[in-house]
Amino acid sequence: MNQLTEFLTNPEFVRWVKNPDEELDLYWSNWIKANPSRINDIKLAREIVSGIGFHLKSPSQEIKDEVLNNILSDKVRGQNGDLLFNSPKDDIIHSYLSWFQYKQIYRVASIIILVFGLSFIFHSLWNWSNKAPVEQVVAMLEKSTKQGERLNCKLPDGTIVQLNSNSSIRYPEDFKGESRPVELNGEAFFEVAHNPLKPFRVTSSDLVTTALGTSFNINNKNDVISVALVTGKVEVKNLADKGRNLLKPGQELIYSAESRKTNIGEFNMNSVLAWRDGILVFSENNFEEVIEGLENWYGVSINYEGNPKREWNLSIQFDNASLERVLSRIAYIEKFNYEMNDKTITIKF
Amino acid sequence: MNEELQLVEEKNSSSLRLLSQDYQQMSDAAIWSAFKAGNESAFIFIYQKFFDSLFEFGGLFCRNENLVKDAVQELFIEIRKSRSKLGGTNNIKFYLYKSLKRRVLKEQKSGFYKLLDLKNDYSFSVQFSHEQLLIDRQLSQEMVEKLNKSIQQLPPRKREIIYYFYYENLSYQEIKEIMGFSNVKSARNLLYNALDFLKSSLL
Repeated sequence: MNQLTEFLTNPEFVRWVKNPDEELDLYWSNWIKANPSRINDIKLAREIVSGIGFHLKSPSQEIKDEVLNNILSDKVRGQNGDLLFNSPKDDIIHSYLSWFQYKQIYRVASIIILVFGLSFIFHSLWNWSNKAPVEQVVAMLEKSTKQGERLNCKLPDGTIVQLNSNSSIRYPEDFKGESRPVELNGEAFFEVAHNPLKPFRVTSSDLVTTALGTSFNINNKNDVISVALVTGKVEVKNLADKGRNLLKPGQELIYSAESRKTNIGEFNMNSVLAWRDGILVFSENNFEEVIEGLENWYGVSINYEGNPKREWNLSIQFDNASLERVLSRIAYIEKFNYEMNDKTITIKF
Repeated sequence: MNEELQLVEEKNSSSLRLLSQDYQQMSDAAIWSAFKAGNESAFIFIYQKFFDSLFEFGGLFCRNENLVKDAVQELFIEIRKSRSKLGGTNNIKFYLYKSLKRRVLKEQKSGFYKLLDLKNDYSFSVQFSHEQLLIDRQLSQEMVEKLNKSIQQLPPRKREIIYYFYYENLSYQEIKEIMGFSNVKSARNLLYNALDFLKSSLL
C-alpha cells in the first residue's frame, strides 16, 4: 500500500500515465529496469490512475456560439444580478408569484434537475466509457508482399514480423502511445518484443489480437481469420460480436466473418507455421484452396480447362521445392495434365 | 452585393483560421500577452480553446447549467474588459479555472441561485472503471467494483483534489492555490488522506 502511494502521489508518475512523452517513457522504463521487483506495483498504480473518471457535461456548439456572441456584444445583465428572469415578460411572472408558489417551483425544478441530472450521468457514463484514447498523429509505415514473395522485417520496438505472400502490415514509425498498434492484411508470424507496459495490438479485419510479448501467427484470407498462438498469452477481441478470448500456447482461434462463428481448438504447429521455413503445406485442402495456395506461393496464375473428376482432399508437404516438382507431384496424385507458359499455368482435366 | 459580402467574410474567416494555427504553436505566456496587448484574435483563440473545459469544470461545482454558462460568460467579459490590468500567466487554463471556481461558488451564494440552495451541489461526480486489457491486469472485476464504491463515498473535497491531481494533473503548488490552502503540505496531506479509498478495496 505504501509503495503504491509512492507512485500515486507523484505528479510525474501521473503525467506519464496520462500524457506520456519520450522523456517520461525513457525515465520510467529505466526506473523499472533498475527496480524489476516493482513492476506489479507500477502496473497496479497505472490501472488505478487511468481508472479514475469524472462525469463531465460538455456544452453544445450552440451554447458555445451563444456565449461568444454575448461576450462580443458585451451584453450587460440586470443590475440586481438576476440571471434567469432577465426579459420583461419573465419579470411580470416573477412579481405574480408568491413565496409559496416559489417553493413549489423549486420542488418541480429540482425534480426536473434530478431527472436531467440522472440522464446526464448515464449519458456521460456512456460517453466516458466509449471514449477512444487520444491517438497522436504519427507517420505510418507499410510493408507488403506480392504473390510469391515473403518478407522478414523488424518493427521499431524490436518485434520481428515474417510476412507471408500477398500480405501487408501497417505500423507507426514510432510506438509512442500506450500501446503498439499494427494492422495486418493476409498472413504473418509475429515474435513480439517483450514490453509489459505497452501491449502489442494487431488488428486484422474484425479481430484484435493483443499480446505483451509472445509469438503467434495470424492468417486473414478469404473472410476467415485465424490466430494461432505459439508461446506466451494473447487476448483476441472480436470487434463484430464484442467477444473476448484468451488463447493458450498451441491453441488456434478461427473466426469466419461470413458465418460469424468463432472456434477455438488445437492446431498443428508444423502445418500452420511451416511457411516460415519455406515449406508449402496442404492439409485436407480442396481444389480451389490448392490453386490459390500455389498462386500465392509461387506468384503465378493458374487457369483450368474442365473440372476435377472428384472432390480434392489433398494433404502433402513440399520443402523448398520448385513449382515444376510440386505441379508434377500433384498432377500425378489428382490425375491432370498441365502446361506451363512463363508465369501462367493451364491445368487440363 | 450579397455575394461580395460573403466573399469578404470568407476571406476574414480564412485569415482568422490561419491566425489560430499560429497560436497553436505559441506558448501560453505569449498568447496571453498578445491578448493583454489588445489582440482580439488571441482572445477568440483563448475562448475557443478553453470554453468547453471551463464549462465542464464549472459543472463539477454546480449542476445548474445556466449558472455555469453565465459564470463562464461573465469571466470572459471581465477579462476582456480589464485585459491590460491583468497579471501575466504561463498557464492560461489554470488561471481561468481559478477565477471560474471563485465565480461559481460566489454565484451560488447570491441572487436567485441562493434560493435554490445549490450550495451543497458540489458534485465532482466520480467513477472508477476498468477498460483495460483482460490479460495481465492487476485489478479483478470485484476489486474494480469495490474501488468504484469507495471512491464515490469520498467527501467532496477529497473528490475535488482527486480531480485536480489525476484528471487535470495539476501540481501540488497549483492545487494549493486553487483549493485555498495556506501551504503545499496541506494539499499533500489531503491527497494522502483521499487515497484511503484504496485501503478497503486493496488490502
